[in-house]
Amino acid sequence: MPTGFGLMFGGLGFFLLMAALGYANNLLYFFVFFLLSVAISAMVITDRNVHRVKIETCSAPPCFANETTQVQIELSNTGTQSSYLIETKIGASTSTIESLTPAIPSTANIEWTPSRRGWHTIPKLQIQSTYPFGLLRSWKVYKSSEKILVFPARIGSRDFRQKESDSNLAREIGIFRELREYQKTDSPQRIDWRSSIKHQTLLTKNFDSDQTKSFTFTWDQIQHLEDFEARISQLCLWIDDCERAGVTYSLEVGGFLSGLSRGPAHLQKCLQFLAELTEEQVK
Amino acid sequence: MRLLFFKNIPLAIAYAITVLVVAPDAPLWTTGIATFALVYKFLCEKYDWPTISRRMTAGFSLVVFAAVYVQFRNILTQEAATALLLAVSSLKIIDYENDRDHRLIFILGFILLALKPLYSIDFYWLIPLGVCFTGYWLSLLNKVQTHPIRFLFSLFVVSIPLTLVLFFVFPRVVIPWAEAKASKQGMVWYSDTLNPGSISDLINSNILYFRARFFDSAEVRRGLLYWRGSVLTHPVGLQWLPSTLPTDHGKAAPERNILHYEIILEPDMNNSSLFGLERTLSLESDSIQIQKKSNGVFKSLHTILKQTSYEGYSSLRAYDTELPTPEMREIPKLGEKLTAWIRKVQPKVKTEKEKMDLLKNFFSDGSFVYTFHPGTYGTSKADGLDEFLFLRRKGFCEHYAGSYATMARALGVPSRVVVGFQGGSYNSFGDFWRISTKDAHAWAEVYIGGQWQRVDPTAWIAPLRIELGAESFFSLPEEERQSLSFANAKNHNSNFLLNWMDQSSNLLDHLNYKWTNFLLEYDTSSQNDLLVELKNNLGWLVFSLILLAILIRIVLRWLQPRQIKRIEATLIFHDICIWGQKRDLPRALFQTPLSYLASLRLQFPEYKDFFSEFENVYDSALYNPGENPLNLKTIKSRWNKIKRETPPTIS
Repeated sequence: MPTGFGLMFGGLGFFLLMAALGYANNLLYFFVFFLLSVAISAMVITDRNVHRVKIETCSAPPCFANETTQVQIELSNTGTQSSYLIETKIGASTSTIESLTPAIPSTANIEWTPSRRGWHTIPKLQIQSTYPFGLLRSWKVYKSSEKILVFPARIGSRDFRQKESDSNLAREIGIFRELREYQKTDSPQRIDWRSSIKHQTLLTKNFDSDQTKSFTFTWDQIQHLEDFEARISQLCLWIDDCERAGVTYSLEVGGFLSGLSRGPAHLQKCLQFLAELTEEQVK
Repeated sequence: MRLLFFKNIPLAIAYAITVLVVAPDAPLWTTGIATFALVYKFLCEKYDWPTISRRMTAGFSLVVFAAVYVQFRNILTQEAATALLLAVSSLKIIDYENDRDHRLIFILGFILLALKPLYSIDFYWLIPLGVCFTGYWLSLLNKVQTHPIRFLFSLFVVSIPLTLVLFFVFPRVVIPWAEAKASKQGMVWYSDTLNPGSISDLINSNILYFRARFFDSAEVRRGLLYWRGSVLTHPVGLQWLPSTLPTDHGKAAPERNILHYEIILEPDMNNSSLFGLERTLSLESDSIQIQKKSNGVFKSLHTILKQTSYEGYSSLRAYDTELPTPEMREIPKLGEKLTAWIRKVQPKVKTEKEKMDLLKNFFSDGSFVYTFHPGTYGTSKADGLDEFLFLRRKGFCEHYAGSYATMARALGVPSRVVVGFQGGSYNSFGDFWRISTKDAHAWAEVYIGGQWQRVDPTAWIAPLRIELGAESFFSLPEEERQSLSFANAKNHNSNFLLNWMDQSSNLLDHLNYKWTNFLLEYDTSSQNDLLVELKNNLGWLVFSLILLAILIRIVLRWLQPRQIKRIEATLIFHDICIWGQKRDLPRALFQTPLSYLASLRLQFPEYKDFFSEFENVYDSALYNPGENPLNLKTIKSRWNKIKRETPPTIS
């Protein structure tokens, strides 16, 4: 299809042809015909420029919904001449490869922002070019069958609500050493009430230095959120924050028990579950 | 990012040359605007001068629009459109800063270039037009394009066949609307009046007026080439004026001794006179309507606004026997000296021959000087004539022709003055005569023996002017011109004046003649003839097309970059990647070719030597393509052998 410039050029050609007809000027005829012939030849080149390009692979790492990820597309040139100014496009995002040499693949990275969680096929990919003069845009469409896992959006409050009654939710793990008198800076959760009653003074537990916090995330903690997706997003945010902070965590939703751990594999397991979670699973 | 106009060198050069090409046809003030715009833009980009805002340039464009309208009373005529486009496009140069501006200048530039053929179809313009055409296209190419000039010329070569087909086959339909808007600014010089000095002003330039070609290999001497334009019959002192001539409805031409010639006339907005040799019986043309007037004058029904060709038929036997009108016997008011001279000599000459001899002797006595700087003559018209004939005796052809005709009438011989051209420059390459403004001439015709006969007093006073031609004669110094005027012209060899520069000029002129003739002549009937000819010679057509295709292929191979070796190596590598993938060793994303080949070497030790050698060959093929092509051929055959030996896939 002609570009805006191509339409303008077409108008120029028409106008000059009319002038040549009107003035019956053979030199003007020659000029116009040569101009149009060059444009037509350029259009053929534009088409062949795209025709030579082939998509070898199309992949993207797992990502979060509403966040931009890079879709990697490997392009190769199956012809014997270089292809120039190859644009790969997903939606409004484009990436341009300036020169694609025959038999030497190049990779284009296009930004893509999935809007929903779950398994997605890579959106429709368009390879286009206006090379050499920008008169014509030639394109072809590629639909990938490869699927990408999109984790839920990381939306919600970063403050984790902790009721006193939920003392088991944030456990402290460590080797108990001794009891000592309560100090103002001590957390109330460390108070050993039994020993305090016995000794008629407030006593707190003192652990060895290998203390770490851990969190357990359950569906009940997010009952205050009405929207199902909002709840999933909140859990996702907390899990991600924990992973970043190096804190161990576990996820207990529906029948799913992740166990207390941390690390990429544990994160993947939890987030994948959340990405695939349906309403039926939590009822 | 802001684009810089002068950083895009092809665009800057193309536009600057476009201005030069169009400048001769545009008003001076628009050329001035264009020059100012280019200089100002250069200074802004080079020395960070403050730029003019787009609002201001838009305002200037409106002013230009109004000025063009005031000057031309129109904006759609050829001249108005040229002026407007030149000025507006140059104001756009000042605004230039993004791709959109670039494309607009590209479009405007092409329109300006396309206007040039409307003013001139000379092939000399093809070179600057070609440079601009190339420059504009080149400016659109992205920097990533390797060898852009080669690429562009390949594109041009490939476009030639379609261009030729369209040019020769596209129907030539004439739409009359454009004729009314055509340029009214051709050369303006030819006048139907003769004033002292009017012809001498013209010889300062050497502008081509028309070309003449004789058919049937006729041998023609320069001295006989009198191209008649207008006939003037009404004298006022040294000035002669035309009278309205009736149409001559003519008689049949004699069939023998016909001199057939063709004239290609340049445009002249002030002129509808057509030029023909003496004793021309008829002029014919497919493109203009010709009227034959009395006194052997031919006129076009319309002024000559574009290059026009016509054919003439002349015969030495076609004497002009048209009876002189009373006007041609009319004796103007004469000065005292001339009146006294007439009274003195008239009783001595009774016959027409005696009168002619008397006049010839009067002018040939050696006292007259042929010069185009004689000064002005007399306070009154009659006194001016006396002063010329009896006192100063210096003048140009118009003085001699006019005064001779007056004296002839005073002696009772009907006479008239003819204005046109004499001689021309012969182009041996193209076998045609080039008649320029330098060849402008005036002479007299007298009615004796029942017919009109030419008398050229210049031939007695400056015979070399007639024999050598104006261009050669006026290139002589004044002193030599004077001394040679009295020499025997027959002993003078004109060939020594031709040097290699003239030969080159003649060759170019010949090529230009062929070119303009071809462009002028190719019309509907020529097209039909060509198509019939092609139909009758299909075999030659096919052969020519095949030959053309082969030539284009050769040119393209020469123009395209030599990346064949590089491509062969990469194709082999691509094949190796597929082979490796089928054997559970695919090339990883971002893995370099050499790294992958190293992996293959490790994985397939039986082919270690091959992969090792291919690494070197691949490396040199990509970075030193010309090096040792034999290696590549050997590698290729070895690889094919490996492929044959190994099973299709290994599970």
